[in-house]
Amino acid sequence: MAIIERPSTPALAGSGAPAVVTPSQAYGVLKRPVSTTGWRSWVFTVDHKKLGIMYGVVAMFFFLVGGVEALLIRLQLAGPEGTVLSAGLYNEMFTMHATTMVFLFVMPMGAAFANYFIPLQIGARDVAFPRINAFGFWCFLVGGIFLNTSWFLGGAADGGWFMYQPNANALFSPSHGVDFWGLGLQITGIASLTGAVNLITTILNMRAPGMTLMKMPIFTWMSLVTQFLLLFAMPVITVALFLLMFQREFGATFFDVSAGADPLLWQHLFWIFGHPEVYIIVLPGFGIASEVLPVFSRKPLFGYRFVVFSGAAIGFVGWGVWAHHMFASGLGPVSVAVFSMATMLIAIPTGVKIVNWVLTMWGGKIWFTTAMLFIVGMIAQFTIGGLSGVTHAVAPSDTQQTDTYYIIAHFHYTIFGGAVMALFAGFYYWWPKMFGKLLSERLGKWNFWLMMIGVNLTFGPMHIIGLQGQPRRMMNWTEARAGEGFFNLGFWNRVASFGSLLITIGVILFLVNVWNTHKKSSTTPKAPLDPWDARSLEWITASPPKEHNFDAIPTVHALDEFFHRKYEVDHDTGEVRKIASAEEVLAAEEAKADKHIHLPSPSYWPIILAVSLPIMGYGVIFNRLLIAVGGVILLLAMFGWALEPSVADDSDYDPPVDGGGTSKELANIG
Amino acid sequence: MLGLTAASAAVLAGCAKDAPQDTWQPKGENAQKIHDLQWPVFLVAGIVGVIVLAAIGFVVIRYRDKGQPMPEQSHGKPALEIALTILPALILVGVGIPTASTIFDLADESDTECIINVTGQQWWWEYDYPAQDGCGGIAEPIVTSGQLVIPANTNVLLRLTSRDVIHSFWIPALNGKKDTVPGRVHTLRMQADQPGIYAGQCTEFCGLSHANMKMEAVALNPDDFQTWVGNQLEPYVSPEAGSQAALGEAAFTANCAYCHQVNGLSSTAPDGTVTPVLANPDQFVVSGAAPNLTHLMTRNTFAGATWDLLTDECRDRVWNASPEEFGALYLQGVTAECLNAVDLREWIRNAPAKKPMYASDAQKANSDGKVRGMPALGLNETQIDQIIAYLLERN
Amino acid sequence: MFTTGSKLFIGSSVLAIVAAVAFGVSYDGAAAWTAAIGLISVSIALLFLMAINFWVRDSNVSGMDSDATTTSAAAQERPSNSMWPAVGALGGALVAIGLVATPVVFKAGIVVLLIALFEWLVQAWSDRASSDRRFNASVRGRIMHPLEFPVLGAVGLTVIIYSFSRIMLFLSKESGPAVFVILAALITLGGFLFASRPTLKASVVAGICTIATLGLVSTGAVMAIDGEREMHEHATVSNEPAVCSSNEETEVDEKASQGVAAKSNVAATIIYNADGELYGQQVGMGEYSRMVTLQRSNTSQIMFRNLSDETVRLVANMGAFEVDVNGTTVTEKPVTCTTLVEPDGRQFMTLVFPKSSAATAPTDPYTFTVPGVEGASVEIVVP
Repeated sequence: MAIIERPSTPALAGSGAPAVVTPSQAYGVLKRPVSTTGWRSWVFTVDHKKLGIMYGVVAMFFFLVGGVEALLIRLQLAGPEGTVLSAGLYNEMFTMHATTMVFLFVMPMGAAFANYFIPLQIGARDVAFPRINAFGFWCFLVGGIFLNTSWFLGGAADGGWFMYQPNANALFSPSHGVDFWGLGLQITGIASLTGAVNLITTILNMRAPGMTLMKMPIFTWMSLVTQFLLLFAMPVITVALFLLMFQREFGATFFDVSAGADPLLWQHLFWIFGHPEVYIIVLPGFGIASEVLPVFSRKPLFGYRFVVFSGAAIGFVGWGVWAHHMFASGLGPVSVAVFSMATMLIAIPTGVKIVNWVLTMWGGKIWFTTAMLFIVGMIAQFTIGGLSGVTHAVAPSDTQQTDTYYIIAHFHYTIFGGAVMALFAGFYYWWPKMFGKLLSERLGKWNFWLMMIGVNLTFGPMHIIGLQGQPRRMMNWTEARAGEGFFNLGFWNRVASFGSLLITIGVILFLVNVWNTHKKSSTTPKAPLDPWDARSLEWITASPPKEHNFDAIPTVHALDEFFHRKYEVDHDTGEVRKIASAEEVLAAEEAKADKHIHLPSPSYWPIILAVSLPIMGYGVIFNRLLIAVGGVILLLAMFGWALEPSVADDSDYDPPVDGGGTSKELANIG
Repeated sequence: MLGLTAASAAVLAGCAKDAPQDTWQPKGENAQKIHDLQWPVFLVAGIVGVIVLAAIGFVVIRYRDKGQPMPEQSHGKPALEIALTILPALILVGVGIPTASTIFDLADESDTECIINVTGQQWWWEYDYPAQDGCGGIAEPIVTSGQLVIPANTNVLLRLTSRDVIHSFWIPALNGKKDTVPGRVHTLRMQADQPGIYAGQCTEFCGLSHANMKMEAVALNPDDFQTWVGNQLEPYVSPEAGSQAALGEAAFTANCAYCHQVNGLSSTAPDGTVTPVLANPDQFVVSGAAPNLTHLMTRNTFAGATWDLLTDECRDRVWNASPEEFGALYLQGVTAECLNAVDLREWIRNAPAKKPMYASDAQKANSDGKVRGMPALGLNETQIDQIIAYLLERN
Repeated sequence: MFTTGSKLFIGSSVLAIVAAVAFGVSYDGAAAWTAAIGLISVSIALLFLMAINFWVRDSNVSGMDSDATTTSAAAQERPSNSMWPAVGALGGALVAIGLVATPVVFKAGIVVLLIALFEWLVQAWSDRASSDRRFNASVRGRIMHPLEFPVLGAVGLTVIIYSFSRIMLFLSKESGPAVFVILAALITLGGFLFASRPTLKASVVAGICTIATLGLVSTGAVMAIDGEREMHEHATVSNEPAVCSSNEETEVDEKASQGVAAKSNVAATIIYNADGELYGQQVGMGEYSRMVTLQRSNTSQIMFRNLSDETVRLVANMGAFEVDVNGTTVTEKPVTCTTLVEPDGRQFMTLVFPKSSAATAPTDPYTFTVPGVEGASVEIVVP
């Protein structure tokens, strides 16, 4: 029972007013915030769409940070004996480049899309736990900021993103960088874990009527697999990070050889997390690709079931291959052979996906929008990345390739060429849905070609650099080992550095595109309701969607529900006839709008709770007293969270509309 | 397609002839085994890649929107799907079987003819040869660093470990890499078909100067190798009294011998008692070791094989020597004419300025006052001259 | 005019004055003065009370005052039942007993007292939140549940885990795993049954769980009192030369060293065989050797295997060094050893030789030995 509701006074009193205090007086500050405009509407929001946008904006910011780090690295390596960065700074740079790109860009950008589109794709009005959702976002933000403040507080982490023991020990990495790294990831890890629980619950419980799992949009499916991977992977890294923290801060000896422990334990822990992490990064991209391809090929996804099951298979097999990161660690031939075979196995479901994508386009009517270009480019590059992956699934071959630039080439083809290109496709594809305006296709195509050429120029030569023996993580390369002739390692290093400039220009063009579309003087018209002739549920609503997503929760009859409401398929001839426009479909839905719509109220507490965490983090590093300060804030915020009324006062928020229009009520969703 | 260029470039890499650490130019049986396994895999991967990319290209051109009617809304053909799942599975089985057998081949220790202990530390490698009947017989242990000297055409087994953090030992022309993990002893087979010099580099990120932790494997004919062993075990010869080198000996004893061992070096007290000078790197260095300099001038590199002891001209002569004449050339060691005094001098003057290390007083504070790497010793130019003159006789 | 209450007080105070007069007349001396002053004071106090009662009209509610039917104290709900006075009393008692007996009880008393005070405070506050008792209870729950549930959960878990650990420590090493497996199977089975019968009454489930928990806790308590099974120390390395030099210790544990460091990657294996010979094996060296080579300043893992039928230990004699202790030169002979290893047992030893073989006195070379066995010695070369 909500506290602010007035209790019904028992019958003994005739006039019925409660006697002593009204509870709303009793709680004072614990009312829920109600702003629907201004900064408060963003800071205290629990709306999955606003959170999704904020995830996206912050992730994009960190993409730029990580990009600058990458540029500095390439600048350093553009010539022999580079002097742009000192050795220490270079080590910090590549450590933070990887950390930023993985934990602060690709993962949260996947979370941005998942947050924004999963409820829309399954016909829900919000996620299952909106306040926890907001808490997750703020954890990600404060964690990311915490991590990057290390640059200004004595230097960032310098142990590589894998942070191998004992090199990441206090003895060998004496700055506070690794502490910042561990605690920062711990905080952003909370975002991933709570997000996983939230989205799994949402997907399993809040689908629109009629939407069985096998009628669920493929992006939601791939996100579901991703969330399960997160749910099981995050605890592993959490434990590992705690061990690391205890070892550095409190002199524990979990990985200390002289105390009888084994440094390889860290590697196992890290990669049991780290390999599923690879699929966490790439599966949302697969989802976007499988979403965009059918739309622009005007055909359903080829072998939807196979794509779903191969995604799930990747989710399972992904747990059994972690040691392929350790083929050179000295595991012994039996382990190496087993993990080598398992790694080859995982190429099969991945191959299935590529085949299905190609066959989706086969016989289609392909419309080359920017989004489609990005996906076609992504398939091509992911194919290359996947095949180079097979070459080091062959363990003996991997002992020649691991820790060389060949590996960098491989995983940038899968992560940049695969996941990031798909994310950019997602931007172009869903932009009109999120913001009501189309990004310029002309600039978009420039953006695509620059990135496509840039990626291949940057990472393509790295195959050669790697196979010719240049190891990773070296602050410089020397002419002495670059070989002779014009096309020596120096040449390819310069090409790679040049390519990184093209990528930079591509990314800047994207930002320019966004700016042009949304600046005050922009002449970009409002996007049509259904600019791409799309197929799934998120398009059966206004653009951008109303706060409550759908006026009426749609009932689902088929995979690609929206398509089937617009088109009729003649089963005998296979002929496809248009029967309704998107506007008509939407009008039909709006006509049966729900009279009462329940939405969660905003809340102060998620952000306050999240802010307490980095304070405790600084406490661990600098002054234990701060832990207590953060702890008190944490405790108070938890109380605030538990005590705040489950809904804002009706009178504060949304007075019922006269004349029987839709009224928004506030449900007691937590 | 750009993808195609990348794929063909990868193949091209194997053909290029110039990079010293090229992984596609095996020079020994073990690397050859890896190569025999990997080139077909690359080939198959390349073919599959070309087919897929061609298919994408075909689809993209053939089915672009030319105003054709809406395509049939087919959801797929399970039979085709299953076939296209089984096909890669079969290819992978074909790859998997030779992979497994090669893995076990490369882990074999039974045919060892020679044992060398390899120890990594920040940021150089130490090689010690236990006394053994193998390697053609080694009577007493030998300790060296920088260049791993092995007999050619002999199955050498390296026993790898580390004194501080994890490193990785890698001579691409002779075998794949293997991590050196503190507390663990890993083995790595080494065999070189012909005499020659083979470059390598630490490939597990090991901190500040990871880029400067290199190594070279030097293969000598078994006869030449015996000569080398004999030379390494030769007793210490004091410099001629009064010479520049003799002054250098004193300077070395006073400044360098705390950490660097020179076997046979002794000091004479005023009362005439002679005591051997034993280095105590365990008191000054985190990893507890510093390169043994007894026969420094028999090797061609210093400071973690980052710099050459030979001038460019002499270095090229050694590196480009034919297998037949290589041994003799290498056994000459570093002569006064060939000495690369520039780098050596800079190194002795201020090592941390040349190679990033944790050796300043502020950095020592984090590690109980011990250095990681070589500190700046504050020697004057005269002392440096004397020490170089002394070192030049360590052959 | 006068209310019932004020009349009572008037009567009483008159009586007190009469009594004072009576005392003053019938007694003399100090006693009479004392009694008279006391009784007059009483009468003044009674008159004061009379005035208050008169003023508030005996706190009676006027029939004309309709508000009073809800606002008067009499109209309020009774405060709800509370266990906190009783718990507070328990806390006080514990504090008192603790002061006499033992500090632990004292501290526990303080904790109980604080909890009782705090809970009492919150309950008293919530009782005044409104006139609806159910509502008040929910107010209290909102404030206290976020604190109570986690704490109670933690306490409950601690009790269960602690009880379980006592049971496992009581059981012998042989039966322990079996009991563990059976219990785990039972719990899984129970969980599965509960899950497959969602219609099962909550009271039945709760009953079963309660009985199981009670059984666990009481068994745990009994076994905790009875004590743990006899256990050997798991010390791997001892720096006591006195112990290392003999084979006379009683403790035996073939699993004394279970370091994670891979058993397949040791620096050397030292074997003591049935013929009383000690020899070393190193990877790649093939033959059994009387000499092993270990790198200096390197953490070397040594495996000792006892293939004889005696119980022996391995001792590493790590040379002799002259050390300067407060100005006097002392010869130190560091020694490290395994615990006793029973026949067919094996054990790890982690060694670091900071100095080369050349640095130790020639009379005390680096060796592995088995104490008491002549000739059982392996030379350690540290180049």
